[in-house]
Amino acid sequence: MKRIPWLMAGMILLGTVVAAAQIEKGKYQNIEVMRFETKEGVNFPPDWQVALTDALVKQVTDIKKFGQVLREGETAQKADALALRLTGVVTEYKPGSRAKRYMLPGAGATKIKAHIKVLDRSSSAVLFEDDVDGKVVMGVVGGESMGAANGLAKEVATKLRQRFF
Amino acid sequence: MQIGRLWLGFWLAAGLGTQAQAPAPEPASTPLQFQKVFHMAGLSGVSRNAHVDAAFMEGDLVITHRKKPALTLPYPRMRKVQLFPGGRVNPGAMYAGALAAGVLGVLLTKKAKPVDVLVLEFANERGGLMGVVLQFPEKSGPQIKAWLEKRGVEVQVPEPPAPAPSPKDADKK
Repeated sequence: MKRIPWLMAGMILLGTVVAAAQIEKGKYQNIEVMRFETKEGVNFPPDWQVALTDALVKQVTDIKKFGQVLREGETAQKADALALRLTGVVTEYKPGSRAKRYMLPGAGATKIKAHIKVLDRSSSAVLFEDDVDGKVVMGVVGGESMGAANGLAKEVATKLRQRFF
Repeated sequence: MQIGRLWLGFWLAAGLGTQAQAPAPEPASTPLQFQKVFHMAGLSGVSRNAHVDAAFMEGDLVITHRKKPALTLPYPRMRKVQLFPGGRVNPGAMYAGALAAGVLGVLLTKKAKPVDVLVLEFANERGGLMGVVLQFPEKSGPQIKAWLEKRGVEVQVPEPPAPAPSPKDADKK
């Protein structure tokens, strides 16, 4: 009986490896960054929503792997270029407190968690999905809370680079 | 002769009547301008917390940074506009001072300056959805809302998020 969980874990790992192997490196030239949705019950403020999209576009652009980083609904310069679509759902948001971070290191952390999916833009086939997060635990006078959006975006950009290039 | 005078009188009266009916040209309204607005996100090449100037013109919103245009946004391209009260902790030099004086720093970081937050979502030239977040001085929100709504832009005022139930409330349930 004890072997069954190990067997399942092995199968999941194998599945992930096979899925990863199916992604042809360097196949996609463009990416469309969609506005992340928010899970029901999570109070993710509208200004953060915009800041997160902005951070994602910036970080994905900064890896310098895509010809064009498109906004939601934006038409590409080369219509025939293969493109990915990045979508996500914000699953957790803790606003934290800069004052608390400043007073008590370790307290008042700002945190965002999201589940991302990377799809083929034309077929909508899911190529990759994962959980990502961004945190601000400390910084200059507690650190700016919106840095959490940047942290999350950086992780997304790193995963895209590792998986698709 | 009398007929001629009558005709002239009639013609003048008719002319005056027409003039009275013609709508008087509306005086061009003065743009709604704000200086030293805080940029929080959305403007490329402008860092977060940077000061920008925002001018609501007759047909578009013009944002300038260091006297250079950062964004000119015609009102019809605005897709979703949200305006709500918020708070900001003053960054920059104040923080540098706060670092030097611990207790003062705590007080400064706790003191949030009330602002009105404008979240604008709009379509760029190629139809892509973009957004800008600006923090305006407190109480300027109603002015901005009235200006935009007069020009056909719907402005949403989202409700503040409901506070999370305290553990005591949760226990009662």
